[in-house]
Amino acid sequence: MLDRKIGIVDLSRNSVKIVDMPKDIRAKYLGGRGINTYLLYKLLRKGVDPLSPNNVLILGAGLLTGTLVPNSSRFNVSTKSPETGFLGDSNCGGFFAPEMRYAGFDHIILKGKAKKPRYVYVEDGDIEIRDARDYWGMNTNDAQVSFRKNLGDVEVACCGTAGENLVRFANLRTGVKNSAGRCGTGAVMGSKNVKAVVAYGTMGLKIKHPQKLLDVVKEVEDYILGSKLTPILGSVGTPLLYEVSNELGAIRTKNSQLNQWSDSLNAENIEKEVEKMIGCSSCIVHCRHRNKLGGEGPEYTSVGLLGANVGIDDVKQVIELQNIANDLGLDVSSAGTIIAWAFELFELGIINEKMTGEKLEFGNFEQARSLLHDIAGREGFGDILAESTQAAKKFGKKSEDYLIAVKNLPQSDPHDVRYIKAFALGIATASRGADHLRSRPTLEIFLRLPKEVKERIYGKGVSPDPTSYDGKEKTVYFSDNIFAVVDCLGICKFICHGFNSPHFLDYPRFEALLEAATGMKYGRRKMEAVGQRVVDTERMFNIRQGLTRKDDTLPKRYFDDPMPMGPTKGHHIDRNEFDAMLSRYYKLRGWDEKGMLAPSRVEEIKSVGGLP
Amino acid sequence: MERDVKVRLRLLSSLRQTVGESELAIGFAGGSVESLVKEAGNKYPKLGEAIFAKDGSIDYAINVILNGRPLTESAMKETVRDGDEVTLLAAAAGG
Repeated sequence: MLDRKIGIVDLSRNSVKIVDMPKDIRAKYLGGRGINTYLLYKLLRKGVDPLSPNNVLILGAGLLTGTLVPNSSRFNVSTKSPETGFLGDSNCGGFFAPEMRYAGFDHIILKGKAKKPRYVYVEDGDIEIRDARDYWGMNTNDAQVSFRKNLGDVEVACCGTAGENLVRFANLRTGVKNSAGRCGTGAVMGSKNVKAVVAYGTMGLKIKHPQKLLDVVKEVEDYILGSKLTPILGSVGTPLLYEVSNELGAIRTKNSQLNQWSDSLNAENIEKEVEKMIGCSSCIVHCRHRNKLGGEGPEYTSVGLLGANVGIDDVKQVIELQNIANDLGLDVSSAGTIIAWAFELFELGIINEKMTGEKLEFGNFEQARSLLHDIAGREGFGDILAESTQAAKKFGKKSEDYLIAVKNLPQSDPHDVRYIKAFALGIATASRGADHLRSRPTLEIFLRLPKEVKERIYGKGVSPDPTSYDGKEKTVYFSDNIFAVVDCLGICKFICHGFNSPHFLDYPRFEALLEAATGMKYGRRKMEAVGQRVVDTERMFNIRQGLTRKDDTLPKRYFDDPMPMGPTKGHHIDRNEFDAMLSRYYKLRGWDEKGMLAPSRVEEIKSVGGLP
Repeated sequence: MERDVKVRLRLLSSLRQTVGESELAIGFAGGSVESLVKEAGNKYPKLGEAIFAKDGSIDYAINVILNGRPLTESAMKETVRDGDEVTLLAAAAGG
């Protein structure tokens, strides 16, 4: 088994407790996101203030993270989100999580609040709470360089000044770009007076069947590298998706007032600013760019949300904005969405210069750059934007009509979901809010995928037409479950079946990798049941925090404003069709019409035992 | 057979990079969108390599847009007319 420990760091008491991983929890949730979710549900009561010492921040590595399994670099950071008030959970790559495992820990729970700035140092089975005064006030690049200068070849997960200043969409960063970006994980770290978790480890991971794992890994590598898509992702990265969405007429532009933008942000122009392609730990795809402006990226998300969505069409400007956001420790998805929202509100006269201090306008690069700094520093109008969607309290009720968010989380996907109905259901029901990495059934953008292929993947009755609502609940249900499983294993979604391609890794290969590495034998049903259990546990957490059916919805604009341009012109989400699709999704999940779990299921999940 | 149906074939994203051209002018004897795309793939080997599946069919990852209208697989049987614009782009996803 690959079991490592759980480290519980009580910052208020300046104490550390180290416990074994209970077998029942491991069996039911595997690791990463699953175990984080279980711990979060057990540890947090209803109504906990996310920025209070009563919240917890959990860093949890996937069960296969740090092994030779391709693309197994991932960990999840989980908390009650200060941005949304619901589940806060974010998945991250890089090199930190393998190092945390080599240092002896699968999960580290931060609770309480330190009296003075601290960092948590983890090395070969021990955890220390150390003085962070030398690092406080630094942004994420400088902080990591300083930790390495002082401590050697460590890996660091830290917050920037945005996190220290409790910006509700501050993230946790490791490396130059990798981020536990969503839901304000960095603000929770900052609220605890913690700058970073720093790891160094020399403890190897014991593989159950080494030769078997080598054989399975070789087969998986050949399979992934044999795909036509792999070299494309490895040479261009995700920016190639910008043109796909834009040509279709589905790129979020100027706060979704428009749905097409400039060709100048196409991948071939971004490539001119790329120094080289790099990867995370054990990655065989290498989708990340090292850019010539001193950072990494941009990803498709940055191109869309710090480009088209704020009305900027210059590649260098977009890259500079995302480099700044990354260094400050801001989530680019929320930043691009919130700034664009403010721009439109100003255009509409819903907010004015009395509040903003200046005229706001789409396409103003200098202004967007200043706003990023002001948000991170909570200065001027930036202090209001730092509240993310909660700024609506200042902007007034009418402002909510123009907010592109679900469950108080700004939408991450630059794709306008009014055309592909399954995407709409995905962001409406995703456990952490409007996000594409929980359940987006990406294969819906393969517009020619025939009915028989879709039905083979998702089940009977799924329409081949991406604009149809028929059977689309099955596509989201399938994606929800398999993405949860891949997050528990610690493998990147890029090689997961259904996220990028219908030909990437499906349950049988996950089963083979899991058995070779750990000896745990999981058939298809048992493994999918893990995904179902994770989604249900997340739902229980959210329900406890007040979530109801009315939260599983979409931005008003997606219902009421037809897309104005391009091949998708005229498409919008029909409220009745959406409502019926949502009910079918609930039924598939075993939830009632109100979106509540059956009492027997709640008891079953509560009975998972062993938390010390 | 006369090649009297003139079609503008646009290549986007990774296909444009693979083939090195953003647009191909195709002379075509007439027929369905599917037959046009197959003929183009056979005429331009780099394009064929990118768009054909192992069984010789057009890979499902290739999205086809006819005169600004995205096509489902059944719509690939529609007839191409002189002056039509057909756009090919490889679907892909990510974050």
